[in-house]
Amino acid sequence: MDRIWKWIGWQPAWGTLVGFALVILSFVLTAVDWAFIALAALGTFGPGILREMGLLNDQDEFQRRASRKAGYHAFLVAGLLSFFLVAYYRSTESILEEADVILELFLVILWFTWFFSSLLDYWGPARTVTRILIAFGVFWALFNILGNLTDIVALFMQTLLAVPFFLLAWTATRWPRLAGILLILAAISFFFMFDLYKIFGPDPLAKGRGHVIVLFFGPLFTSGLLLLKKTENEAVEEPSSQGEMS
Amino acid sequence: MYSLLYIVTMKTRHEISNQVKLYRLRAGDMTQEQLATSIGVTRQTILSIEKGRYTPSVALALRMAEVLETTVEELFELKGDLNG
Repeated sequence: MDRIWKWIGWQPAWGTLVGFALVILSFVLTAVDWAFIALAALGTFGPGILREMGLLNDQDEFQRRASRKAGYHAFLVAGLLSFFLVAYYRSTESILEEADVILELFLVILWFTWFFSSLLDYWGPARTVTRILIAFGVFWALFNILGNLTDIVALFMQTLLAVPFFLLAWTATRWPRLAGILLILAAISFFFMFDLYKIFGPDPLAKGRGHVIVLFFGPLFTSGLLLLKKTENEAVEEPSSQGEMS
Repeated sequence: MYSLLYIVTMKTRHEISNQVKLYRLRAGDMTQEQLATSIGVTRQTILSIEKGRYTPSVALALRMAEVLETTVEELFELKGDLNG
């Protein structure tokens, strides 16, 4: 197990692992009853609450600082967006028909901002972007493999769509600026391809648009911007054969 | 939006330089993992300190100095002029 964490370059605190397991379990149990989603709250926020109360001491000071800084970033981003949404709904005729959509969106924004900020503090921009792209590729491939198990041709063709993510991850370690430009272009293409620009229209959050922007467009665009800020030398930052960064 | 926030804040100056890697190698080619274990932190913490991305607390700096058989002043130094 230690070798796996070493390969990933991340050794999560055991409280985080238990929390993650609870979140997965809660999503599995939603097939039985949506009430089980409450377990995800325990998994997501429980370890942090216990740490702040001094009842769980499984992180070192660098990890604690990263978590707290990420929490502050999540507060700033979610707070700002919430004021914009209040301003929008108060100043227009729009009616929010499904309150749970906006609640979920805020959870997604809070979580995503916290997660991204933690990773950046932990790994730095270049490694964070590379790993996010690999994760995108892996999830895309898994999603398509599970969705096309009976059709081999479709399975092969759909899985090929994950390749650009791996290629971009590889490019990001060698030519970060090129990868940055490609990622921004890809994010902008998806913005129009998936009608995400309608976020500025009369019903901004319809069809899960907000979620897609935060979880799909957001990581790609953010990663592109971060890579544009990197120099070539800073981007090549991989562990040596001794499992140690130079 | 978060990316803009990060890019603005990543310009924050790191005012402290460090010689942790040098002293770690001097202490019998100690690995980051070994140093991390001996002072009770993760390897990523050592890496971030060496890269200048994280400035440790006084307590951690003292523990590190003790293990590397040196002083905190030798390990960490303020960049530039104190009055400047």
